[in-house]
Amino acid sequence: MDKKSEERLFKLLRRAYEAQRNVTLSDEWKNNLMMKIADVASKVDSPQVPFVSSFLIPRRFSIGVVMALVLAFATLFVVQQQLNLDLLGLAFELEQDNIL
Amino acid sequence: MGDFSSISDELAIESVLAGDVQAFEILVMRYRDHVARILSRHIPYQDVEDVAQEVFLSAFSGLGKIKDPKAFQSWLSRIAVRTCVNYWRVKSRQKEQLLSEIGDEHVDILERKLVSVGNSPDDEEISEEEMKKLQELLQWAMGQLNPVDRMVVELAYFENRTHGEIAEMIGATRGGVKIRLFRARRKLRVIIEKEMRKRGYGQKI
Repeated sequence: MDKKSEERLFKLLRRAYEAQRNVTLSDEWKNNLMMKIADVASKVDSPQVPFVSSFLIPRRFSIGVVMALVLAFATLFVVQQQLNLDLLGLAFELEQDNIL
Repeated sequence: MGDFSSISDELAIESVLAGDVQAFEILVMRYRDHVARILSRHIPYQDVEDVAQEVFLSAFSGLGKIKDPKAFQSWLSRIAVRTCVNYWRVKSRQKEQLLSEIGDEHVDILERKLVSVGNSPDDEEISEEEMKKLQELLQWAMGQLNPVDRMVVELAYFENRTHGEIAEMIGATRGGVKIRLFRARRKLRVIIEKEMRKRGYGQKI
């Protein structure tokens, strides 16, 4: 194929390319997209870790991780009470007499 | 959503980033035709709607990373072009036979148009049926290029984009685009020429 034919070939291909059908995106398409976007946004912004922890704990921490941490601290607290230890450094004193 | 023409892209982006998800609709309404035009040229029309959703979802997810909100349209165009490249990568990985084979009638029309000396290809009379065949031939030939080469050829030769623009769109250097373009053009010509010869055409060109 000589240079001239090649030029003609590319011009023809360009015409074929330009004549391709243009798709129009409907309002229904847009509404469907906005629903997906709302879904994505709700996953990103849902307050899984509320209040103080939301800026102390990275967002990638799931609610499960936070719950596990809370549970671990609660267990430690109960153990401390039972053994009368000061594991958390809170100098907790259990006044059993008063309770009884 | 009502009239949004008075709301700038920057303001809409700022609102979205502040948590007003509905403000993104302003950008969707404003640029859906632009995105549809890009996608219609680069991927099969039956997949344009799904891929356009992918483009806007990527834009929404990456909105926080936009450096210049005033240049939202260019930023969105880059996402659209890269999504098209990914589309073809996935298709070629899946080895999907997307495009029908071409026949003698395609090559016959091409040869007649190539040897027609009277008119420039821009003024050449092309019937609807002939145009359909040329488009099938184009799709068949482009389908044999790798996804990035395909995009570079389309942007440079069919959309008249500069090397700099293409480099920015596909994330390459200008020199890289130039080399890729040269090789891809040659490859495309060889693919078509070989097919013509195989079918006994191409003696007159």
